[in-house]
Amino acid sequence: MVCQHCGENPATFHLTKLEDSELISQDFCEQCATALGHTNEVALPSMLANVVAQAAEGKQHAGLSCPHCGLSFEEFRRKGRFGCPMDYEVFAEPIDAMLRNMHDNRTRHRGRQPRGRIDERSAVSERLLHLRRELREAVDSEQYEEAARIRDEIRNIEQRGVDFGDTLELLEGLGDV
Amino acid sequence: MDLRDLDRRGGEWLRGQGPRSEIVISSRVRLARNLDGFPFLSRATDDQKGEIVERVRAPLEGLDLRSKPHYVDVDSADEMLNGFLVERHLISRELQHGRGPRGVAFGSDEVVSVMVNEEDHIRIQAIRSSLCLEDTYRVALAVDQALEQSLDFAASQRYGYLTACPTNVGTGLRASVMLHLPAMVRMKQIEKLFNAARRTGLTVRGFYGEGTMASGDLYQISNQVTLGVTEEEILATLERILPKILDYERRCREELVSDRRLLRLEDGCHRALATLRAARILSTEEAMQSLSMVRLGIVTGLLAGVSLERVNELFVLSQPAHVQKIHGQIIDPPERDALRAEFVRENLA
Repeated sequence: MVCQHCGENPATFHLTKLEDSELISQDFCEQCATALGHTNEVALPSMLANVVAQAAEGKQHAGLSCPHCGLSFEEFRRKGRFGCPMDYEVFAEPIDAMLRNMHDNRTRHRGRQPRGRIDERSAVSERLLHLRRELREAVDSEQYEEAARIRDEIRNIEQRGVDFGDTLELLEGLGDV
Repeated sequence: MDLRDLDRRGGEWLRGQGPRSEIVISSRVRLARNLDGFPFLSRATDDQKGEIVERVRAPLEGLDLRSKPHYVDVDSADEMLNGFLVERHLISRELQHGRGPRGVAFGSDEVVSVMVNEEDHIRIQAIRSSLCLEDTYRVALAVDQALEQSLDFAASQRYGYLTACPTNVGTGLRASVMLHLPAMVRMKQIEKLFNAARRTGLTVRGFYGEGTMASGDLYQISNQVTLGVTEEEILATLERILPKILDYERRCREELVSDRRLLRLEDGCHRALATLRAARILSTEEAMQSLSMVRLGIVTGLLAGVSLERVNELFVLSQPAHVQKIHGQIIDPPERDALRAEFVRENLA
């Protein structure tokens, strides 16, 4: 996190204020915080600031839910488990403070990258997640012909693999999703 | 599948040999992975869980684990076998008590085990004797890479490997060591360990992981952060902090063998060994406490004639499901305590 005043130095000074019943978080570096006169105010330590920000964000995003697996943000907050890989993108904004808390203020992966190009894969995985959800609904409502059709489509996509041409084609097919 | 030959001996990680084995029982690395294009398990139907097992099983059985991998269908296995696998650290309690299609593959030496449909679709574990985190990581990584040949794992550029719980996202790597800290416990210094760990971003757990008691003075210490750090950095953090903890335990041991305390320690160690060699009724907890004292006696040179490996093994072989597995049936606790006493006596004769 960089200082929101100078936009250069790392923010080490976190300020959380209550204004018109809205929680406002501000992050400054040491110099800017001093220059702006904030150091005289009572500052919350970074971790506590994150907890407060987390609570505020949770409230703000309570209505959000994942179009891929159906998990609502509310349910995620209760159980602490995601429903599908896409949730990380869908809930990227509200989980930011939580990830910072868990991972020592870090939010971006720096470790090993898995085999294959991830960007090309995401459209396919998104489509597969959708089809699997439709399949589940078709089976639940005893629409077995529809279920068989979806099963075939899943098989087709998986067999065609994840080469770039297929991804483009699939992206076109995603218009109605 | 025949697991009978596992009854009476422990996995390779209980060998009690290697760097710092006087304190470090084992090093363990776990990698969390999920199949791309499938929901995570909390949103997966039993059909989907079955499909995941079906997909993963062939690659698992094709792994080269220095033996042909065993595969146990945990869903259909009986309570005793699952308890036995938990006690051997081959599966977690979460997998044991889960529902729907799930299982585990492991090699005969029990260095590698891969759980299917635990909290994540795939949990790769490598566990080895003594302090050797890098070697252990390399073993887990080799399994990961072998599986990646035929399976696509859920991942993103920004978050790395995507996991059901955000505490594992990124590397999906949890590295830990199992430490025997009897001197810190006896010197009432263990609270310091918890405080130090908290400050340095490490987690302390008991012998059987999350939420378990530190039976037998055994503690697991692991990394907390998995995102925004490289695998090497995670291992390096542990390796930087561990020597300090090991040194502290060593100093506590030195204090226990100092002139004014030696007799008391000697008495405690000999009594513990005598209990294990003579008792007719032995609860799990008494066995664990006595084994811990005997282990302390061996590494401080006060007790001879018992190997570290034997004691390490008995920590696991004295557990309830093991006692029952050896006798091939469910046994009530009172009778179990008598059979445990008999088994331990035979092993330390």
